[in-house]
Amino acid sequence: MSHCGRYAAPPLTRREMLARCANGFGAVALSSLLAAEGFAAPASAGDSRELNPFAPRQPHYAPRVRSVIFLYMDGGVSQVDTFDPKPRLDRDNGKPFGTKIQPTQFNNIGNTLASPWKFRQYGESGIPVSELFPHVAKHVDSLAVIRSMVSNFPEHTNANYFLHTGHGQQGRPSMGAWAGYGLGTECQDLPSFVVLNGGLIPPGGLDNFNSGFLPATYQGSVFAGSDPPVANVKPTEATPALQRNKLALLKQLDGSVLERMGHVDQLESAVANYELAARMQLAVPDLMDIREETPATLEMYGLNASWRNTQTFGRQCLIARRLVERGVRFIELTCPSGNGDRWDQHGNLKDGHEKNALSVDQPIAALLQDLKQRGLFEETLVVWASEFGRTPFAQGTNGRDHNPFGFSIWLAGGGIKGGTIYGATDEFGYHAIENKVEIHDLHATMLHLLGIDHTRLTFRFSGRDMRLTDVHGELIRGILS
Amino acid sequence: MRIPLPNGGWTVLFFSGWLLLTGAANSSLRADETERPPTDAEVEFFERSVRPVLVNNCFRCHSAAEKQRGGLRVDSRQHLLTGGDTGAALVPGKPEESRLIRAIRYDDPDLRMPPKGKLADEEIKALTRWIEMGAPWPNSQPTASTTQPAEGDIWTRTIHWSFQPIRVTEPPRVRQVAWPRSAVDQFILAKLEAAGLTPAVPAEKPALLRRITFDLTGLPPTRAELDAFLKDNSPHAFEKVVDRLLESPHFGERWARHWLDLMRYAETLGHEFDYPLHHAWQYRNYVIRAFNADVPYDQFVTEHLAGDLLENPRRHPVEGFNESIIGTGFWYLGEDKHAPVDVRAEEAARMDNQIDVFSKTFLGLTVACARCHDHKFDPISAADYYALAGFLRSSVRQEVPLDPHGKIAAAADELAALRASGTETLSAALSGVSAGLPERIVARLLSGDLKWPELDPEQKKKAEWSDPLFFLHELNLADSDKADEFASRRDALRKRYQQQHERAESFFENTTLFADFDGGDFGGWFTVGKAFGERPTQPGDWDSRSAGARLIAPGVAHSGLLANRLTGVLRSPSFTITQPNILYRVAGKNAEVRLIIDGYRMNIFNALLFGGIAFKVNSDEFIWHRQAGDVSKFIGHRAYIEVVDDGDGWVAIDEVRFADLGPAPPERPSAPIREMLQQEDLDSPAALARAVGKVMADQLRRLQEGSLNAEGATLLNRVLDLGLLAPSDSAGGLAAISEQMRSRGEQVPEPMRVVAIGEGTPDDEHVFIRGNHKTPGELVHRRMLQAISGADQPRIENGSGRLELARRILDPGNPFPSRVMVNRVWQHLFGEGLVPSVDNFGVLGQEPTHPELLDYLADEFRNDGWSIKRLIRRLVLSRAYQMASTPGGRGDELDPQNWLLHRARIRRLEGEAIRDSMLLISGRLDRAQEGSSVPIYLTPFMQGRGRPQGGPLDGNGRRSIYIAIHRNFLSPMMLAFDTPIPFTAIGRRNVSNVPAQALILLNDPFVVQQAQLWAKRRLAESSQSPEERIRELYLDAFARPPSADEVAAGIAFLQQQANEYKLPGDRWEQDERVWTDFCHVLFNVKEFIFLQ
Repeated sequence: MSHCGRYAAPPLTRREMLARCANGFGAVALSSLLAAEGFAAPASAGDSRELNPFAPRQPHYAPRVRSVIFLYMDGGVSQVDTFDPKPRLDRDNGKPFGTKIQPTQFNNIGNTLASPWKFRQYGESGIPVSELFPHVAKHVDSLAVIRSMVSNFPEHTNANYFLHTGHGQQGRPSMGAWAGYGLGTECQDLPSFVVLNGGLIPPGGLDNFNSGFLPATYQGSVFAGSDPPVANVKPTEATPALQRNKLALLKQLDGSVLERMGHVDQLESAVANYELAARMQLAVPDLMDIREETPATLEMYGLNASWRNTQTFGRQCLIARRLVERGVRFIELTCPSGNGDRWDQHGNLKDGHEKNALSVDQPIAALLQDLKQRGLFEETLVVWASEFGRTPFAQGTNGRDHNPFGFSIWLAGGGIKGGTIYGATDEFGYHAIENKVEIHDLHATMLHLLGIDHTRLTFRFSGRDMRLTDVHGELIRGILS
Repeated sequence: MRIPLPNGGWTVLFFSGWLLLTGAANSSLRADETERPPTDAEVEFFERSVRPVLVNNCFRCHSAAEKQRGGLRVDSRQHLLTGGDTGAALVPGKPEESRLIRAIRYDDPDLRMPPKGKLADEEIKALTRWIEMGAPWPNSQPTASTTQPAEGDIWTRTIHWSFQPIRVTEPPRVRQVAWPRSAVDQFILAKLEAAGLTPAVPAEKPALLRRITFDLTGLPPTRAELDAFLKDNSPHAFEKVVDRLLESPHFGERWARHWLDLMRYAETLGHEFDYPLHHAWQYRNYVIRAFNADVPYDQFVTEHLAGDLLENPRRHPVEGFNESIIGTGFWYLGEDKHAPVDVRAEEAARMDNQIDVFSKTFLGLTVACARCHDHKFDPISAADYYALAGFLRSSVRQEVPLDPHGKIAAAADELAALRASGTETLSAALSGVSAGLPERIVARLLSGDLKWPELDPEQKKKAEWSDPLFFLHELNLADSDKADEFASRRDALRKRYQQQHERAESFFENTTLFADFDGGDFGGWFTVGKAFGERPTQPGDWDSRSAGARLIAPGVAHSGLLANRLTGVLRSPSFTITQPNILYRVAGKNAEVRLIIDGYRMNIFNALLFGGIAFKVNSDEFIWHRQAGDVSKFIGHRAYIEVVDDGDGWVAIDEVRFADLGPAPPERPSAPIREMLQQEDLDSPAALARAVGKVMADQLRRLQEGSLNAEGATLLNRVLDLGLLAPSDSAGGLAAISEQMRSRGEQVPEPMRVVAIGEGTPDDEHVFIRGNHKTPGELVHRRMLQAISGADQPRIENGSGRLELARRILDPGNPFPSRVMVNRVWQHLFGEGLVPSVDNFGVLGQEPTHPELLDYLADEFRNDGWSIKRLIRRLVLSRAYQMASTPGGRGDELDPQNWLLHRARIRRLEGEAIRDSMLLISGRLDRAQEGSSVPIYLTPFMQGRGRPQGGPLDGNGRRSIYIAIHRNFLSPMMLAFDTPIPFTAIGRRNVSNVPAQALILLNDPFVVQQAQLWAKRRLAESSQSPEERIRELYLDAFARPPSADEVAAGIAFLQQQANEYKLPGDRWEQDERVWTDFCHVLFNVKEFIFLQ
């Protein structure tokens, strides 16, 4: 296995860059650089990232975790059916909904709908979890469940962009891109931001994982379940020697180009880029080759499960662990397709949520277990979240519409106070009313755990120093250990 | 919670008196003036139960010491009374009217404080009680600090360099007098000399040719072009190359791509399903043509902002269609969402993007920052932002049918003339028949030879009120058997008419007439296209849809009277929706009526939440359509109506009314007939027949007077039907005209459809406080930014005012458009702008490295007719452009970022140029221009909703600018090489370094395919030696011959590969595989994707 461990090249510090840049081009450029504190570098002005965009960089303070696994539950998991039980819904089941209803995406309002699933308390903390997540429930003492999440958008695409980029429209960098931009990566033969595509690309498309106005370097690399898992990573040559010869000639010819055109940074880093690409060609197959895993591990992740999508998601979770081992900074998992629909049960809540939960429950529990037994849990942050929740009243008779006013997510891993319930919704599970948490707060907290002050991770674009959290974001201190 | 009041009775008494005073004074006096010192008990209550709640829950966002969100402070009584952006936070004594209480009770979903969670019940009670008490506050002296920026901030900020007028200075003197070839060189050299630097030597000819060819056309030079340039030793050799390239049609393709980056150009609408952005490619072709034609930049800007309003639009030189209007399509190249839960918020988001693109592109300013508050750094106020938003609010998106070669207009003119001659023929015929008409009618009605067709009950029901003579069915005046029943049947008829009349009257009384088209024009409605003609139907107009003598009802807007193939849209003025139903009296075939609410039109793809706002019209007869959906949830929103005939059909609209929900309107009985039936002396069939005759004679008289109404036209048509008028000669003439119209109408060509902006109803916009449309503030008149065009701009009186906006932008006093554009051109030629932040000339942007040069060029650009080609020509003929790029020496020590331009910059090619180069040298390039887009090739990794049909791997060999751009399915190759995501204006691309680039060049099937084609092409051409062939390939790829070492390395490699392929002897010399491998390596050599 080709671990990267704690590879840390001596970073070219901001101060060194300034010294280097400030000599020649006068006070104008100097002042603009000085104004750009912390990470706020004008992309043009001699940023160390141009030399090696992936070089690990100093965090703002001691990080609690070095990797993030974002388990994206595409479509909107229902809070009142998973982590936020509401007895009032049982009492009112079938009756007109007992409080004012906001405009919804489908405007097909039904009556109050009780959860079809029973809840039970688990662990020492006694956090209630519904029957949908029997495996994850066993780890409940490691989870911080936030029941008071809110979003600004009631429909998928805006809400997805908001969840991923902190902004409701297309074009901003994804959180994984920000993490790579802020910290680089400890793995020098894989990208810093990997999306393991289980089959569903969220509404809004691949732009949920893009680098926006940040350099393309930081965009999420989508790994599919196919072979090859990454575009263009598989050599096209019939034999390794044919490509080896090509690369050897290339190296020689590039050498003469450098002689001819001069050893400028741009050219040298473009040459170095091929070394990373060549390493990726080897690292990716190695990453995906799970034959070395024990049968017990495969069993635990659900690779032998009878529901095919459990196998699919189990494999993704296993690969996620392997990416963490390799030092990849940000890993996002998307859900498998073939469950009828994403977690977007406008109708047939029972069938759809059951299939979606069945696909992810065992693999997620296995991932938590595996990270713990390998000593990786404390240096990894696992986030389980949807773009919004679902209405406590029915859409039609047996579905639920989108609900951005209050929903549940959970976090686990380094720096997280396990066994915590944070925030609350009203008695219907409709609106968050206590310790409301915004997406910006979630982002701020994720960056914080990575050792980044979200107010200082900036990139100048469009006339201001842009942040993942815009002008918002407060740490969710109540879930931090 | 108990309230500690030592002397309850007295306190209550006191408060009630005081509250009366406060309440009365509230409107006229300042609240402070009614204040009296709080009692000890009040102080205690405040300090124990109120202040802690405010401090702990509110001060973080609403106090002098922290933030003042929403402009609100809650750290003094006076600030609470004054309130924030949305008004007073408390009304003493009236908790129910106090926003503070509304907010903390969480009753109003839009106003909930504190945002993170509801206060405890006892805290809410305490604050409520406190306000009931009159909100007593001890020592309520407000602190001095203020939340609003001081007045005049906007004006003091205009000291920023970019707001200063263009200042033209003489090019500076330099010591190396022999070096400069132009003023540009003098400015550059002077700075270098001041820094103790010397400019680099001139670039070698091959490198220079490669540089200029890519810069001007985005393609590499061919070997023939290289040969010609190398052989040309005249002093004008380079100039000739430049002129050749400026005339190349590929120039426009290259420079259009730069422009499209600013326009966030794409061909889909993104979002969940990535619906198509129809006709976008027409805009792309327009830009290509405009750059090739060197349209003056001021004209180009005007066309973008107001190309629809030009009196003399620019026309396509060959096809003659209106070019100018296509430029306005840029407004609509952004994203769009199909089911916004808040449609007004969606409109605000669209406008934000439009203003963002507009202001960055044309002004280099980030005006969209001022959507929620005055700009934090630049002299741009929120009022400025909403003043600009007003131009968009006064405009509409429209699809315009353009008319190549004027064929549609010619057809419409001919058809209109034919129709007019038909009307004349009919009117001449009718004018001769009035004498004796009543008598003829009486005779016919009583003669019994009129044949009333047999009708089934359904037909009867339909005809009862639409056929004014239907009553004669039941009341056959010639039927002597029924003569005795005449009186009772007459009475029954009278009653039925009267009842129907009253039903209709009472129905319509409760509706509001919005439009009836009864005047000489469309009454403020807008038309697009030729189908609706110049005006609604007029009294006496011939019904050209019939082959014979028939009148058309006047007062109808009709798209079918010239030809079904003509297309058109009739658009209403904007109105505010006040009632839940809209009633339309329409007829038509294959047509549609749409209600556009807050600019929302995505229901054409997906009607979710907007189900009933459009409906199809498919009925030959006029019937009342109710708005298919209840629009009550849109009450208060602005909307307009579009009546659309966009194909082989027609539509006619008679009336629009606003109504409450309910049944369809009853038909109105014919008024002349109803009135006739009321006459007292109708005591016999003969008397009634005479009365009918008189009614008809009246209508004929009205026709001759030009005052015939719709009912009259219907009556006269019935008389014509019955053969009572039919003049023998007119019918024949009309049939011939009708036939001519039909055959001419069939030749009407399909229009060229483009998306454009159009005039809407003039309407200013309110400032949205904190960017929230639910909290409108002051109304701002449409105008340009005050910091640029002044505080006293004349009011815009007519129309949207976009043409006036363009004039203000291009005013000689505005330094931005010319500075911004010359800077963009400079950047594309030199690698960095003189102002490196090309889209932001504001305070957070970068300052110019050569301010005098920037102004010199900006001034020269304007004086030279805003010609981009001549600007480029001047710049590339400078010595500064032609320097070598070789690094090293003092220059790189003293000027490591090369801001002073001591040498040329080494630049990486854009993704498009890399791909196009491969196509060119492989021989696959299809040099065809314009046309619609080639579908994008889809890799298995491009998944998601709205996945299109994929296209060919090599894009049919077309240049990259012609490959379709799907927002949610962007080309991985282009993304890897930093083609921007199309979401806002991007004038400066990133140049990133990402392994995906290497992986693409190493393994992407397109790259391998092109390498193979290239190898094949070179192998097929001649029987060269391997050395010669290597030389040819080098000339193709790098515009230079290889060195001896490079040739040797190549030969060695080819033999190595031959070994690996197990090729015997010298077979490799002609083997496609080994040469493909070699070509593939050349694609990967850095020199291929970098310019010296």
